[in-house]
Amino acid sequence: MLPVEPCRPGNQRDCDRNYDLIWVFSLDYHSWHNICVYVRVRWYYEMRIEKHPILEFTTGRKVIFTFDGKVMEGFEGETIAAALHAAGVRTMRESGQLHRPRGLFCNIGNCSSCLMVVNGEPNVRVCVERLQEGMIVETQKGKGELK
Amino acid sequence: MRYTEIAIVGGGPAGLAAALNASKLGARVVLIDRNDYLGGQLIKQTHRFFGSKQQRASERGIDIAGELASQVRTNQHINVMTGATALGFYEDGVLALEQHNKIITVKAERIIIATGGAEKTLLFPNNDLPGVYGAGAVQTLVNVFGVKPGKKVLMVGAGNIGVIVSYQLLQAGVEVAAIIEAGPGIGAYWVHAAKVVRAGVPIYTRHTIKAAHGAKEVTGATIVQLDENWQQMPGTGKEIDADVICLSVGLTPLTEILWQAGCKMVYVPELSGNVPLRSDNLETSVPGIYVAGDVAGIEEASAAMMEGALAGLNAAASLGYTLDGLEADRQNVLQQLEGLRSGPVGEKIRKGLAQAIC
Repeated sequence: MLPVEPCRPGNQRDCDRNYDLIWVFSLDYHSWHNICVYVRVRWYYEMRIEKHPILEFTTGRKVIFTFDGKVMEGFEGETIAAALHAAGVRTMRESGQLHRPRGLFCNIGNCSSCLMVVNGEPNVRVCVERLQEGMIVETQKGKGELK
Repeated sequence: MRYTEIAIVGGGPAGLAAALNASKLGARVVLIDRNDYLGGQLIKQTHRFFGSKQQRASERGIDIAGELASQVRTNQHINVMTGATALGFYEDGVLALEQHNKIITVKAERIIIATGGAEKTLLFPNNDLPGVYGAGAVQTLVNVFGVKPGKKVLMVGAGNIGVIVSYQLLQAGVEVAAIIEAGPGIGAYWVHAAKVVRAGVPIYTRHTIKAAHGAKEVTGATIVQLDENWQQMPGTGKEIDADVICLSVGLTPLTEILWQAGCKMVYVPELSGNVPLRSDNLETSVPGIYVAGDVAGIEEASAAMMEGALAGLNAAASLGYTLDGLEADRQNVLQQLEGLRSGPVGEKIRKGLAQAIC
């Protein structure tokens, strides 16, 4: 995981770097804040395809979600797996017996390699589950528990 | 319980063609797909198809998917259920679906199963590491969502899918370190293979993957040469620097519902797995259950559309529906299929079908 580099939480105008800003809810201030996410934004541009000879990618609006407590951004309507890949995250689960890391394999909902805990619900196939604003996505360990 | 004349499970090329053709004769159709869109795996096919004009050659799968899906959605005889997963088939002919966290039951007079296939994997140390993907998985990530799987890819398998996906990765700006193929030759159409070779990607035939490396994710792989007996040759190991390993080692039919329905199945290696025994009309050993597309044996999208058309026409005709020129339509589809399966390219399929049609 790459660290998020906060750059003077507060007003967007305070940020002299010309990088993308995202809104996060700050527990310190009990309000929404803009933070500069220079490092992650650079990743985002590396993993997203910007130019393609045949395809044009249309995306939903930018949304924020968390992965194991870290704030991330993605596009509404893309799969959770796609948003995680775009953020450089490829490990989604830990196997039950040998605690091996697991990621995507089939990416179309067949194989169950990518099961994660989403909003507290385990065994969600993140390769087909669509990203929504504020989702809480967590690495799944073993079979997961129904709460 | 919902009642309909024909229920079709799977909204890919076979299912869409089946729905359009069955409704053309006047049958009422429910088309079921577990995804929230129609088109199946066509939606990630950005290359131009081969074949004749009637088989939609030189069109891209992604465009065909859009066109067929809109025809289906505007057809009044077809009721589309997306986001609906077929969970079970019961003895009394009831199909159970899960849609939006609810169980729905459907009873149909005829059922067409067009569930397609699933990607196979390959046995080697560390094949479970994040970074080892099916080639189709990478194709979805890149062509549907515009996201790269990593920086540098090792492609395993030089059949059509392996080579086409390699080319599509290059188009997306991802480096392809090499394509390896266990067989003695390149299986893909030469026009595709030539493109990746021109782009500087080496294709190693008679090579396989010995192991993937990495503690938490893929960081590389060792490839090794195979002898005439498909055994690894000592001293021929080569290190490949890659953070993505793509397995393009074929698909296998997704036949769960057919097993559950009690259809007679037969293992046919040429069709890539267990497939249903069926008649020339694509009806299985259970009367009223038809099959079309990859679930009946792995081929490609053009053949799936033709089989879908045939199954749709036959299922509707068996309900008593007819149309002027129905027989000519059917003969035309059969001829198209024969054309697609002719010549040396179709030899394997012809051999497989001979064991599956009774």
